[in-house]
Order: sequence, then C-alpha cells, then structure tokens
Amino acid sequence: MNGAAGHLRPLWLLAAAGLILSVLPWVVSPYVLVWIFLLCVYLTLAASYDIVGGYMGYMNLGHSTFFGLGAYGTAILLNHGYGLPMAAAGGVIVSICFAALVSYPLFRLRGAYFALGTFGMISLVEVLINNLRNLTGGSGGISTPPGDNTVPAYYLSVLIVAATLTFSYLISRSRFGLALFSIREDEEVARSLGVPTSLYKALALVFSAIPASLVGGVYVWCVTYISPPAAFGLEIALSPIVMAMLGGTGTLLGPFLGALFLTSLQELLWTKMPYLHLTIYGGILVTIGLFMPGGIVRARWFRPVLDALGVGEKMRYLDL
Amino acid sequence: MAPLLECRDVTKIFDGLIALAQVRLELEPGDILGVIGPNGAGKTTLFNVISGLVRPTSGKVFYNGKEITGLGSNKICRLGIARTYQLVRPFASLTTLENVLVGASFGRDRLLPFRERVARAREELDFVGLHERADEPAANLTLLDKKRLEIARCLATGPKVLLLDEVIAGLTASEVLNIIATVRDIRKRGIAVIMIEHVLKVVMELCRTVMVLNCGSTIAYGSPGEVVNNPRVIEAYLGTSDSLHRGAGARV
Amino acid sequence: MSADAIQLLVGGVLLGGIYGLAAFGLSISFGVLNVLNLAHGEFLMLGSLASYSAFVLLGINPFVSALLAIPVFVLLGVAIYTLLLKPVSDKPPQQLLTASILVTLGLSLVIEDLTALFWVRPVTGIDYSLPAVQVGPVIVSSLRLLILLFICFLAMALQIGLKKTFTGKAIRAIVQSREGAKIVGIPISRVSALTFGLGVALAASAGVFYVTLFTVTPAMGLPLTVKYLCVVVLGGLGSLVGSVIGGLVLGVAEVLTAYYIGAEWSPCIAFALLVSILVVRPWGLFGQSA
Repeated sequence: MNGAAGHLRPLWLLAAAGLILSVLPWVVSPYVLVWIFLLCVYLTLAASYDIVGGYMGYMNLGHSTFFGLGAYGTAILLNHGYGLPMAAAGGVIVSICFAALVSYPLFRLRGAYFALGTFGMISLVEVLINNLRNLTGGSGGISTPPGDNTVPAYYLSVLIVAATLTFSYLISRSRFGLALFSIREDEEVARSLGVPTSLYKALALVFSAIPASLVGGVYVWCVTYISPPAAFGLEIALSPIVMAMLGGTGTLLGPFLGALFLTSLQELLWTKMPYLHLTIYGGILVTIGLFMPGGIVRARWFRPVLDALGVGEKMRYLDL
Repeated sequence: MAPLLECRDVTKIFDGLIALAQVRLELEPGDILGVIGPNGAGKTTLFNVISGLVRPTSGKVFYNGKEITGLGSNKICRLGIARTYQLVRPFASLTTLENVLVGASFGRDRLLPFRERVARAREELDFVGLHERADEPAANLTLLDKKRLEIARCLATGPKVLLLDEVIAGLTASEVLNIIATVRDIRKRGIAVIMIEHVLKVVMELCRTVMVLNCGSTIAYGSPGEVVNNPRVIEAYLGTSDSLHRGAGARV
Repeated sequence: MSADAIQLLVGGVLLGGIYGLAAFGLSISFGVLNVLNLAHGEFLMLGSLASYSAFVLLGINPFVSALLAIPVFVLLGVAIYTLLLKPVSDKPPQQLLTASILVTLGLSLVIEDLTALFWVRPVTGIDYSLPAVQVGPVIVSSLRLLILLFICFLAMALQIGLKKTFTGKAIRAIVQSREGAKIVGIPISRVSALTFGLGVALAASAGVFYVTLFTVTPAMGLPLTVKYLCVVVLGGLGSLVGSVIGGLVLGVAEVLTAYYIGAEWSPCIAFALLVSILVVRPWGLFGQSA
C-alpha cells in the first residue's frame, strides 16, 4: 500500500475510464456501443443483485423478475404515449411494489429454500404476464415506439451503472450496510443485538429492485421489444448471478469483473457455438462452487492485480 | 416498584418435551443471579424466552413492570436486555471493532452519529481488553477473545440486564479469572447479570442469589449457601444413594 | 361426488403420489446432507427419458424400468456426491450454502443442456395402455391404479427400510442429530453418499411414472425442483411424512386448477400455495413452530 497515492489510484482510473466512455460514440461503431450497453445492463443487474445476495447473504435467484417488471411496465407506458422518464419511473414503481409485497412471504424462507423460492417467483410472474394477454401482449411480447436510441441508451446505461455502483458503495459504508453484513453472518445474533432484521431485509430487496427495474426500462426503450423469454428467461435470470459469484460477491469490484468476463465470453463464443451456453454457465458455477466460492476478487492469484490497481487491502467497511 | 426483570410461571413445551415448567425469577438493578443445573435442565431455553428468541407456551416476562413476552428479540435488546451464547457466535468475516459496532449502532446509542458510535465501540473493546485486536477478523480470535468480543458486543447495546450463557466453558484457569474480573467490572457499571454456569465455585463466588433448574423446574432458589446444602440440589447433581446403587442406566 | 370429480381426485392423488415420492427423496437428502439439491428435478427428467427409451427401444414396461432405475441412479447419486458434494461438505454453514447452491445449480444446468443436445423433440407420454377398470360408477385407468399401488409399495418399502435396516437407522439418526451421530461413530460421509443416491433414485423412479402421464422435455427439471421445494415447505421442513402429504395436496390442487380455472394457470398453483402457507403457517403442515 502506498498510502495516499495508493488510495488515489483507483480514482484516477475511474476518471480516465469516464473520459474514454464519454467520447466513445464518436470513435467506434454502433456495434461496440451495443456491446458496452449490454455489459452495463448485466453489470447493473449483477451489482444490484449483490446487495441482497452478497451483502446480506440471501441468494435471490429471482432478481431478474425486477428487470422484467421494469421492462414491461416501461413498455406499456411508452405505448400509452408517455416519455421515457415517466415510463421508466412507472416501471420502477411497479417493481418496488412487487418487491415490498413479495418480501413478506419470501423472507420466511432461509438459505437454499429462499434461493429456490425466489427462482420460482420468476416463473410465477412469467405465467402471469403470459396470461394477462390484453395488458402485456401475452407470449408474443410487445413492441414499443421504434427509433434508433442506441447512443442515448448507451449514455444512460453508463450513467445507471455509475449510479448503481455508487449506491452500492454508499450502502456498504452505511449503518444499513453493516446491518446487512451482520444478517449475512448470523441473522439470529444480529436480531438480538437490535437489528430490525425483517424491515431491513425487505428494504434491501426493494433497494436492489430499483436499479434492476430502471435498467429494464432503458433496455426495452432501446431494443423496442420485450417478450417473456427475454425478460424472464434463464439467461437473463442466471447471467447476472453467475457474474456476481464469479467475480466475487459482497464486493464492488466482483460484479464488474464477472460482468466483463462473461459478456466477453458471450461475445466470443455465442456466435461460434449456438449450443451449450447453459453447460458453460453450469460448468463455471460448479468450478466456482468447488474451487473458489469467494470469486476472482478473493482468489490468491488475483492479488497482484488488486495491488496494481491500488486496492491492495480487501474492501473493508471501516477505512479509518 | 416493579423488579427490573421478572418471569412469572414461564413454561415452554417443545413437542411433548417440557423444557421449562412454571419458572419464576426476579431481578433488581445491579443484582447478579446464577442459574445452575444439570445439562438439559432448560437453562438456555430460559435465556431464549427472556431474550425473545422463543415464545413461551405459557407464562409472562416483565421488564420494568411492562410485559415483554413474545416481543421480537431486536425490540427486547433495545429495551435493555442483551445476551451471549453458549457456543460463541461472532460475525466471522467482520473485524472485532465492526462486530462491536453492530451492537453500538442498533442498541441504545443507535441514534448517535457514526464517529461517536465507533468511539463507544472502542470503549467497550477497551473495557474487555481487546483494543489491540480491533482490526482483526473475528474468525481469527482465540476462544477467550471471542468470548470477550461477545461481551463487548452486548455491552455496546447499552443493556441494563446482561445474560451470560456459560461464558466460562472451555477456558483455562487463568482465563476464567480474567472473565470473573470482567463480570465484576460489569456489575460496577450497574448492569444486572444473570449467568448460567456449570462451574459451581465461580457461581458461589460471584452470585448473590442462585437458582437451580432441573428438568425445567426450579428446585432451589436462594443464597449460594442455602442452595448448596439443599438436599434436592445434591440429589439432582449426584443422585441419591438409592439411584447410585441402581446404576448409571437410571439417568438418561 | 360426480364421476368427474372422482376422476380428478384420482388423477390428483396419482400426481400427488409422484410429487410426494420425489419430494421425499429431496427431504431425506436435505435432512442428512444439509444441502438442498437444486438438480433434483433433473433426475426426475432423466428417469422419465430413461423410462421412455426403455419402453420404446426395448419394450420394457415402466414398472420394470422403475425397479431397474433404482440401483442405477443410486450409483449415479453416489458418484455425484463423491465428486461434487463431498469436497464442500465440511465447510461452515454460510460457505456450504453458497457452494452447494452453486454446485447443484451448475449441475442442473449442465444436465439440462447436455440432455437437450441429444434429445431434440419433446417426449410425449408412453402409450402403455391396459384395459380400464370399473370401480363403482367410475372408469379408472388401471394403469393409473397400478402406478398408485406401486408408489405405495415403494413408500412402504422405504418406511420399512428406514426403520429396520442399519442404513435406515443411521439416516434417521443423522437427521435427528448430526453431532450425536458422529459421536456414536456413524460414518457420516458414507451414509450421506448413500442417502443422496437414494434421493436421486427416488426422483428418477418418480420420473419413470411421470412420463406415462405427461410430456417430458429436457427443460422441465428446474421448474420441477421449484415445485418440490413448495411441496417440502408445504409439508413442513424436516418432516418426511409432511413431504408426502404436501405432494398429495399439490397434486390434487394442480389437477383441480387445471380443470376448473385453466391449464395455463397450473404452474402458478405451486408457488401460490407456497406463498399462502408461508404467510399463514410458515412452518408448514407438519413442521414445528419456534
């Protein structure tokens, strides 16, 4: 650790990255912009998942439900003539209401039961969307007003990622975040120390739903189409979680690394190999589970990179 | 004036097993009550009921005259009752200071700003003698230090009643002296203590009143001297001469 | 009761029996290993496919398939346990949870995807007809009756096995008290491997019968596992009998929903039941409240 200089290095890197990202549209093809857009969507989902999955230790496998609800809510409002801000806000509201409602029964489950239960939540919502045909277009999906929104969507997604990571950072340094960590370590003990666990668990879920639904709204605005498989399918459900776990849950850098790795992998392999995507995901999951459940960020071979980046010590709560 | 803590006829039945039967206790501010009894007597269950982890089947618990039976354990903590655990349960991946900070942030002092809560946490770490280990992950502490951490964590919530569950178990003789000194210091702060212990010597030395539980029922309640000479207590721990002759199979 | 209702009830009980059988396997596996096997539904799917292949290629009927499947899948389960679960089995609870979810979820994805590679079209139910039987005013497919009987027989064999054999007692001991079992000298690792194998085999045998009633696709594994979760929670965590009863409740509920409300809503019913029981009685029908 180099003291003050060490602490500043990540900030320089961030500033440089921000500068590059803002001038990118003039320099590269739309194809690259779309790739970065997708990366940002996945990263937002991975980082927001991590608030509940990593900080609090409850693996919410149904996180993509918030994305889907945000997307559908936004799409429906866009088709009724509302502009993006109002439509996206509507999507977020639907999503957080759902999160608040569903947290009451779901948090009675613990551990793997919670994971499975939240996973079931996805198919429940998907069935609802399929069946409420008049509102949601059923299994055919809905289209939103056409237009080439690639560049503004790109900027929006980068902003949303920045906001989400900042939000996550602020949580991790707050009293609320400390409570989440304590819930993860030992919920019963946390409760007996005065932590209002039921309330905080619901709040964490609601907080995690906000970025997910917001980015869902921007997604549908950019792609101008949403359907149940795109919103609630296995790929969108599992990718962010695999990313967060691969990179390392409970950290800020983890989801970023995982998202970077997986979107690159998708880019390189998916077109060449139309099959076996799930097998690869599954293989990655098994490998992480057996050999590095802490993710890349905590792996021994990764330490030199962390030191070079100036984040030598593990990200800890108290930086005094 | 109502006692600080009172249990009235607390009964807890688990699936046909009577863990607690009509247990009563009264605690005044500054008191120190020892709870002893053979294994499985219901001592930890009693703590679980008082601290809100478990709802009693019948009976009531009162704190400062107000009923607290069935309140959530976080509310009970805020009212001023804190407890440690028989098998230490630190927040393993958090540091020692962070552990205690949880207590400071959600107990009596939860409305204080960050810096002051951290200061409170450091105070409690100093009190138990862990200030040198403030930044170590709790998982790396020795058993004695983990026990001290649990105590500090509880104290940081600003309790008026501290429930210590077999805090001495597993410690060496000198470590035991350390903990006894800490308990005395806790009493000097005006905090009432209930301690579950197996080591009779410690209980006799520290506690003004002793309660003996066996199979969920109170079989003695009085000063250490009275309790030690109570024939029912002797029988519970050693058996009568009859049952000793009948053999070990009688007690399971 | 109308003939329709009885038909529905029989169908529901049968479906429930299949669910109960598989859920029992999941429950017992969880009780011993403390790991929820997210790949459980995949084994049901594999059992279905195996049964179908056996019937179509070799003319073996489902009952024989079920008996053959059991030892095969026990071995498969033991192998999977040894390779994937044993390495993580002695981690502390929080890590064990994450690791086990990762490993079993990953396994289910791999199984599902690889199966999809080889199995291109959905598999419709086996056309294994027996003459129908008349019970009272109702004509019941004797196939269904036989399956129900077979499942009962399996369940009874299991009960006897659990009570009388050494392994069975070892399993019950571990479920009741892991530490106690260790102290008494029960080889936890070996019993865990066997139990996992047993759980897998139960799922597979449930699958053998499932294919006689329903269409089977490689992607049905995960949704089924979610259903079993609902069954286990409904019946009460830690209660083996509860899983079976929960399965029956779900089976009947699904059939009734499909008939009276519409088949497209029946995937919902499992989750709806789960949510309701969590709100009303979180410890399930047979579980213990705090």
